[in-house]
Amino acid sequence: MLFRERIAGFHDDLEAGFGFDLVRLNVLESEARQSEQGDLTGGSMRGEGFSNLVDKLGARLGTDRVQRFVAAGTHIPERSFGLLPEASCGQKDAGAQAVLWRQDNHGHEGDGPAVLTRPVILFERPEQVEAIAEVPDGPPVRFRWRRPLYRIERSEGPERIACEWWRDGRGGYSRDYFRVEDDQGYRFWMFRLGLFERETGNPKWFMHGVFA
Amino acid sequence: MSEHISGADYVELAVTTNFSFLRGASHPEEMVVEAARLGLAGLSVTDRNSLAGVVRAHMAAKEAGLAFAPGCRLVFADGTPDILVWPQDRDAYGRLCELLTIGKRRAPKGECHLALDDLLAHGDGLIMAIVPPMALPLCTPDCLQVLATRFAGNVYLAAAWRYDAFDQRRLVSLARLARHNHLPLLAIGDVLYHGPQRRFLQDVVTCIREHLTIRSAGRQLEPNAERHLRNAVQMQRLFRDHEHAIAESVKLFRRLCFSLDELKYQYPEEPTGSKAPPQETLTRLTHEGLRRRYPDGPPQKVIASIHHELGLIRKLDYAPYFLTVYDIVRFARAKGILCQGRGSAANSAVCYCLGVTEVDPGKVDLLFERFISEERNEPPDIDVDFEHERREEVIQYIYAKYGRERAGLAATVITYRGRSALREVGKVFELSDDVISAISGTRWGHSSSGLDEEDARRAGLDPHDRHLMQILDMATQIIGFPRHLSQHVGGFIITRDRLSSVVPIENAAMDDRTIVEWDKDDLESLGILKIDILALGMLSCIRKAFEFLDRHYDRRESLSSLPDDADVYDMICRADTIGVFQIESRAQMSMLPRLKPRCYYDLVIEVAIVRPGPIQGDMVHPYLRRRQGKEPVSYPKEELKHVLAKTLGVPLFQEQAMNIAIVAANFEPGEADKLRRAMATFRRVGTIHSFRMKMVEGMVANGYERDFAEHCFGQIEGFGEYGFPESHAASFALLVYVSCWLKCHYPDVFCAAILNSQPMGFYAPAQLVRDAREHGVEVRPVDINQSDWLSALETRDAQAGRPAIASRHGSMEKIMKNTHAVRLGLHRIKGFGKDNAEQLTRHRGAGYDSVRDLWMRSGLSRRAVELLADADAFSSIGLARRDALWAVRALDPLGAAERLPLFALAGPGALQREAEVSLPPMPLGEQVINDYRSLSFSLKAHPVSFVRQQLKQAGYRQNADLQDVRSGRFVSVAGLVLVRQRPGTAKGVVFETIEDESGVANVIVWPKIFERYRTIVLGSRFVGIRGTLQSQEGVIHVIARQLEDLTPLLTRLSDIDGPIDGFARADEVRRGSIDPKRKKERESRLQHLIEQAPQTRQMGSKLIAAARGILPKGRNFH
Repeated sequence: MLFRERIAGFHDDLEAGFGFDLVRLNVLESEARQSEQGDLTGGSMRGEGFSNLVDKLGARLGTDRVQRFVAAGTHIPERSFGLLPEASCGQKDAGAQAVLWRQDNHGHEGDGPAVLTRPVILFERPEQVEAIAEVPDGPPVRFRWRRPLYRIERSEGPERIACEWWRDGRGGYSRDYFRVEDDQGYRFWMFRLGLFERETGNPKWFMHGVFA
Repeated sequence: MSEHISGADYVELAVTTNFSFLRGASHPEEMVVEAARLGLAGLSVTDRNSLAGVVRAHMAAKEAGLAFAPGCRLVFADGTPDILVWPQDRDAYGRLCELLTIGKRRAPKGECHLALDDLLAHGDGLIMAIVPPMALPLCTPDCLQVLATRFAGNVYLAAAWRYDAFDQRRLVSLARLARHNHLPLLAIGDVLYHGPQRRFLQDVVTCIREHLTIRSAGRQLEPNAERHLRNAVQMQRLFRDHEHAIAESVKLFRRLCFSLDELKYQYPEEPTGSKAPPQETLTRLTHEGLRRRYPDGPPQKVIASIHHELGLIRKLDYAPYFLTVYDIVRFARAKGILCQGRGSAANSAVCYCLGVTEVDPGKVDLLFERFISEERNEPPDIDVDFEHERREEVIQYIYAKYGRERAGLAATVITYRGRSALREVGKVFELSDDVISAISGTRWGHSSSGLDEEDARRAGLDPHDRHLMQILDMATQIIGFPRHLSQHVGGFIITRDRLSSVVPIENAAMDDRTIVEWDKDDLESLGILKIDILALGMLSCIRKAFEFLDRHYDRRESLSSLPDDADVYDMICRADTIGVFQIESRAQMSMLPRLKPRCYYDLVIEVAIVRPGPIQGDMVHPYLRRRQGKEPVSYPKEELKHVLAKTLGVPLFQEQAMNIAIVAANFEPGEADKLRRAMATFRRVGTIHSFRMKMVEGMVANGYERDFAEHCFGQIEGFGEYGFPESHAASFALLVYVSCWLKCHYPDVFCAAILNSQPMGFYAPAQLVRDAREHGVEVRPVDINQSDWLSALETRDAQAGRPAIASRHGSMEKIMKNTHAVRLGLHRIKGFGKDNAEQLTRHRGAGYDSVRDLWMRSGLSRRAVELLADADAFSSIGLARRDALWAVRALDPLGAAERLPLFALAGPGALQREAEVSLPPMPLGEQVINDYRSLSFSLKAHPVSFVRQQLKQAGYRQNADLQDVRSGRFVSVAGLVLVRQRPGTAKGVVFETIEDESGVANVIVWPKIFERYRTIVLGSRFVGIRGTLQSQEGVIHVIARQLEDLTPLLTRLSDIDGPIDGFARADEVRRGSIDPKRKKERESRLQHLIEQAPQTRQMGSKLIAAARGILPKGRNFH
């Protein structure tokens, strides 16, 4: 079944003339396939469909191009996840990391309502905004982003994340992240780059994502 | 908001210092200084299950004028959240100590296992704050209700602002929880370092603790640099909706009425068992001693000083302390253990009468209050040295007398040093082991100085690499950080109350030993009685020498009975002092001919002058010039005359430097002592600078020259590194004199005694034996029929005359009274145990007559007999080494037919003898190498003598010839490396002592040459030196220009296969892994040698390795 996809593609770039006499299959790598019995109705089991999909996509697009998100051990938001080929990250590991992530996020566990501290999707590059805020580390009162002006009604923070000094050098700026809500009810995730006075006299503001 | 700022006060109550090992990233002192700078109303230090850092913080806070209260962060093993506790009063403090002691005693060393029940049992009087877990939603800790009920009114809920995403929500939840349970909410900073710049180091120590690398540590590191101290305004801003929590910190702090100063004066009562008040007992004992010391009536001077001292002791209430020391010394004396006290209080007339010290106050002018001053109010300090082999008896006596509840050992704080810092930090930054050892391998020993570009460059690394600089900077910062607590060499604390209510006690690494959490400086700061029970090898040696004198020369002597003797000083002036106490080191020996000691007090100076203090203060040369009359004795100012008169106007002792600060720079006496302590402990905090200003400017203002002032300060800095006061030098000088007297008059006695006291001192047995033989002492080899376990004296035939004395020591001919020979004992044989020796001597009877006879009658194992044969110990029955080894081979350990009862009954002589075999004699060279292997020296010949021919061809002359060479000439010498020394005060200069068959030569290697020949200087065991001769006042040095590793030459002496154990026992420079460069150099050297000497062609690198193994590596000292 898997090879059908692959072989179907051969016609395009091979001039076979009178057809093939012999097709040889080289198995370079093999893995044991654990088969499980399905239920009586013949419906596929949980997870089975997913791995089939991965295999199918991998066979058509190349296994390296079927990737999944994994959590990375860092406090810096844009570095805190990575994309790895699904085939190469054992599912178990990725799962364990995700659990670790949730636990030490000082976040909600158990029954309480979950608080989403970060947007699901971050901007590729944080976008600079003009903001007015209280020094040294108060939340923005209003800001201008992509032209319009926003007035902040509510805010929470700062969540302070310092640079990874062993990577970025010791002079790197820290960020103060705020979750803010404007008078229209839109919610943003933005940060001040550079601590007032300790690191810089003129901190800049950036938008790093919006809450859906 | 602004209206709250004015008059705001805040006390930081949750501070983790670096005494929470690898968690905090600042010294307690740094915390205090920063807290004072921020204007906090007070500070507490709360380390994890420990009080180890509180004394330092307490002292620093006193200095800085900051209110301080000790506390502790209890971390539980049963899931209870962390609880901060602070004792309200002395009793509560005692219970806290007991609580920690319980937790520590039941856990392995360095850990503390506590459960909530322990706190419930010991928590009365403690104020406690629960630190709830960070996670939201807040779950009510189980312990909260229990504690709030049990300790009503004393329980708080702690809240910290963490700069994470939940601060506001958490604070609201905590406030609600507090309100609900009627607990006050307490604001804390939960501080890990004093300023945000320490975040980097905090990340590094976290990695070290968790065995992570900095790149993989990820979210286990703190996300930001916010866990530093904050002032009231900053805290007010963070807790703007909960100001009452800030105010609560001040209110709580006001409830803490306990100060560590209350722990003072915990002297045990009635240490002598007498019912009378201690002062009366002391007076009585002193007068009894006075009559014993001066049977003909004491001199007026001594009576006066005793009167004066007893008055001072009464005033300061020190009598119990003196009696405690007296009691310990009395015990030692009753057991025949030689001991002597030293230290500030020891050199008093009272201590002389009590028998604590032997320095006659009539002879020397040591003023008591120079050592104990009323104003300084520091505890008297008496260290007592005991024979190193018998100190344990004294320790056990103390434990037995006072019990483990009242006596314990002080701790030593083990801190990061250059090498350990680099190793640990290097691992965090993923440096490979070989790079780490390449950088640290080029460092000398374990210094505590910082790491710099130079270290990197030497290791062949780019010093401007940013990553590397980061590593070196971190490693430098972590130097001096405490790593763990260890056992002090002998500082005993003895208290009146339970010791565990004064300071927590924990398990030491040694079984059956417990240590307290504080080190000697902490104890001294608090004025807690401490007696140093120290081990001194020379005392063992002297006691054994006195026993030999008694047995063989019918002379009974004691430390104080030896007369002043010009001959002894003559010997000292010639620097003929190998083996004697203190003045045997290289630096001391080159000082002797210049200083020319002629009396006891000169020895006191000699002992103290070759130390970092006088050297860093540039005081040595001025003193020598004045002593030699090249410079007039003058005083910087008349007021210093009484301070400096004894040392010709040049300050040499620590006490003098302190007195200069008092007299010339107007320091208060207490302040001067603070200065000294500041040198040792506050070096990293930066208060030194203000002292420097005060002292130098103070002296200049008083009319002193700036240059002199700077030198005095430099000297005090030197004392900070390694203080050496006159009061210690005075006691040491006596042992110097006694050991010199013994060596001068009875070199045989001295040799045997010092061999029996090994390991001790500066020199290995090879040099001690050699020195004795040069003084005409016959040294007889180890022998199965003559030797006992220890070396002994044997009578010599009077007609035989004395063996030849080396021409250098010719002047001793008439003075030496030795008539005995030294018989080496079986203890010199490597691997031959004391049990074996006893077995051998017990069954010896009239003597063994063959290897088989010995084996059968003594019942020794074949291996032990082989060791005897290896040591050539069968010569008295006519068996050479090779023959004896042959005979040992014939012993059949399995069959052992001879051991059957029938044969045993047959008795010796009845059994059939095996035919003797005649083997070719072993060549002398091989004999010598085997001697070295088995005994670590040879009586037959010196290894170098076998290669003299080659050395001569290469232009090397004998060391003994150097005496006839004019200064400034170019010379070449070669020899085995005995000692390498690189003193911290000598700016990188290396001193080497080498030995050939004619004598020793002293070599100086300047840093430039050292860098070029580094591997040879550090690695070779047989070295050739070419350089210029420098001769000054009888002191001869060779200044090295070129060095050559001659070690391979010696492999020709014998073909040995397989590695053999190294030789010198104290080698402080461990050689790192061999880097390729060095290996190559060694190979090319071998090539070179093979070309030069065709007969060595068959020699492989294996042989070279073997020679390296056998010959002494040389001992390295600082």
